[in-house]
Amino acid sequence: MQVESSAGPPGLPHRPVTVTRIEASKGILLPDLREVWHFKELLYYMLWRDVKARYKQTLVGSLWAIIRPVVTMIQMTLIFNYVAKIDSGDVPYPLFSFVGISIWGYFSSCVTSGSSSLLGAGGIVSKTYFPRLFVPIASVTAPLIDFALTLPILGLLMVRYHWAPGWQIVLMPLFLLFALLAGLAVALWLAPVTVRYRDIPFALPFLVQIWFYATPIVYPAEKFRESVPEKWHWIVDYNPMTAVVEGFRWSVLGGDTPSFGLLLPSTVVMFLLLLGGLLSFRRAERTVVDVL
Amino acid sequence: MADVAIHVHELSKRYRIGELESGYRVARRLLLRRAPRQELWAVRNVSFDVEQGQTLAIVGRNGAGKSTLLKLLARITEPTSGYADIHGRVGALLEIGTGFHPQLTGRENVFLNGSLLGMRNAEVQRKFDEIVEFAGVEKFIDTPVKRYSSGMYVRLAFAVAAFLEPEILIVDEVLAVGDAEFQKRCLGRMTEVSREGRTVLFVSHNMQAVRRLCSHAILLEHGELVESGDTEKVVRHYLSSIEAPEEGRREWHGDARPGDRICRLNSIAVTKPNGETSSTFMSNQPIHVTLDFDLTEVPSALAAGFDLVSYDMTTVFRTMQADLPESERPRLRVGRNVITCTIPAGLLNGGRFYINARIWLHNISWFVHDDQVLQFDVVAAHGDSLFLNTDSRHRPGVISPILRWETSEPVPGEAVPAPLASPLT
Repeated sequence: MQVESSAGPPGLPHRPVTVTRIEASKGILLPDLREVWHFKELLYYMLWRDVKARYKQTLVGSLWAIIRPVVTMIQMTLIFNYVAKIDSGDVPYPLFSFVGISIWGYFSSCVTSGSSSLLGAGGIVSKTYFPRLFVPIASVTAPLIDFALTLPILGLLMVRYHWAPGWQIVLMPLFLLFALLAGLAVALWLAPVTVRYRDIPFALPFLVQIWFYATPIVYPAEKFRESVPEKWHWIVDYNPMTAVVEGFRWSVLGGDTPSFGLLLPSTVVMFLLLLGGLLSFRRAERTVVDVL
Repeated sequence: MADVAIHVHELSKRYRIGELESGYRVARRLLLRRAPRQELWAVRNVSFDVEQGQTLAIVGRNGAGKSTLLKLLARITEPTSGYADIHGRVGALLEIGTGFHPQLTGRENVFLNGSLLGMRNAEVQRKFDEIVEFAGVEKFIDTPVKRYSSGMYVRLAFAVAAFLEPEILIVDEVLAVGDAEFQKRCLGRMTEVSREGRTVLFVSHNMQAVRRLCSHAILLEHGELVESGDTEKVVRHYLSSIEAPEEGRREWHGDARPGDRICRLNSIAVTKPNGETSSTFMSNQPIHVTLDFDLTEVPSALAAGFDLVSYDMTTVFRTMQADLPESERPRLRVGRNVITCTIPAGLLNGGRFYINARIWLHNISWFVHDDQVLQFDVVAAHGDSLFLNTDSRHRPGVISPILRWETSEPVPGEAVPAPLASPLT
């Protein structure tokens, strides 16, 4: 769609009128950032709506956001630390795993809500026009609240284990943004597909679980590289979530600075996934309404 | 010539029927290399221009492509071929209350809805008081809309769209909701909008509203534009074309049939005198409503019939076969029963009506209590008087029977004022 400006019509003299051409689009389509900017307030209201609708009457709902990672952490500590004797170096294992579990929890909420976001927004998507990109964006932003609720628990754990964060803590928001972008990337790929093939939500928890164990969350990445034959290293090396989790954990807990060379492939894959997601979503959004 | 607001050139939209295939079907098609699914051109090679400030009606039967055309112009979906140039910002009102969230307050929803229509916060702010006043919800503006009555909800939703100053306003069947008073205000507001120099595209089955509001119209049939120009000419063409049969029948099978062990409804249909089912009727013809149901026993208190409901959900009447004296009633028997009721010509006013199927044991329990199983439109066309059906405003009322009027002689001796005698003579 091309947009150009021309002089205003006689009836409405003060308004510059834009001409929009509606036609079948061809070739590679990039997100229309100007339009996204124009609608930016809508994003704010959509977020507000999601948040308010979600936390209106659920005290327990927000408790769940805390209970789940805590229980998972206890479970993982028992299995991997006590039974399987995985050791996390200087960092106490519960703290080590909780950091990974909390950021993963955010990412997996993004995947779940993001992939069904277009389907869930069918009502407004099929009745009005706005940049469809907002739907997945809102769906990966709203779970940040749940994530924020796990931070006090993280703080308590750090107090309990006498673990003070280092200067890197200022980089935490950056890695959180990485997690958001990774979640958005998956949401962009899956949201249009889920509209067409509605069994995706059933397969998703299983895939997320596999991904969880393929990411150095309950074990350190170097442990994986040490103990698994080299031909399997790609699983962690090219896993887009490796950089997110490792980076986030480093920013919170400090320790050795992660090797740039080791995290680079994972980061590159993450951004390629995001770029591909943006392009494929842009293609799909044109006619996704027809199958909603 | 005035400036063009919308220029549509050979716009087409193809749908693939059966787009949602099961995995099994997809696999089978790929293996057997079967030809893919069927295609349907919902809109085909449609071209027209709308001038700035013009109010254009899009008329046509259900499924003629009106809604698809609006969706294309509102950029909700992309065309398959052709193009349209839109001069200015489009505010589409394809369904009232789109994006309203029950948990949010009226105020929050106004801003959400405004931003959904592409308005800036400041613009919504400027119009806020007018919107709230028009909707008449001042007292409840900070209450979550889930506590609103449906009327308040609809009024607020319409008000947001109508006051948000898009250069082009697209309205689909809004007038099918709300009470008569509110509909009048909606129409009034739309007239104002077009007077302000904005362009309005209006889809409706209500020919009175179309006639009153629109100077120009286009008629779609099977996705193609068959007539355009002066409203009166297009409306007349449309009215003559709706004589052809159409849906107007609803069937159920097996356990999906409404009812229970004793009584099951097989189908319900509205037909013209010649036996054709239809979803559009002229008010100068009788409408036959036929119920087809199975009985496993015939309780003496069984009554079968329907409620006729108008567009604003007012029940116009209930009629039951058991209303008639026993000697005139259709006999019911074990097995299949088909009974027909005739709504006389010249009774209903123009508008949309729904049929609620009703079969019960009189005053005891319902067998069938299904709302809105069927809908049909009535086009007001009865009566030979020049005055009926040419009201410049939609004639109020869900029925418009022609009643008897006679001249009454003044009774002598009563206090009828005597002719004024001029004091000067």
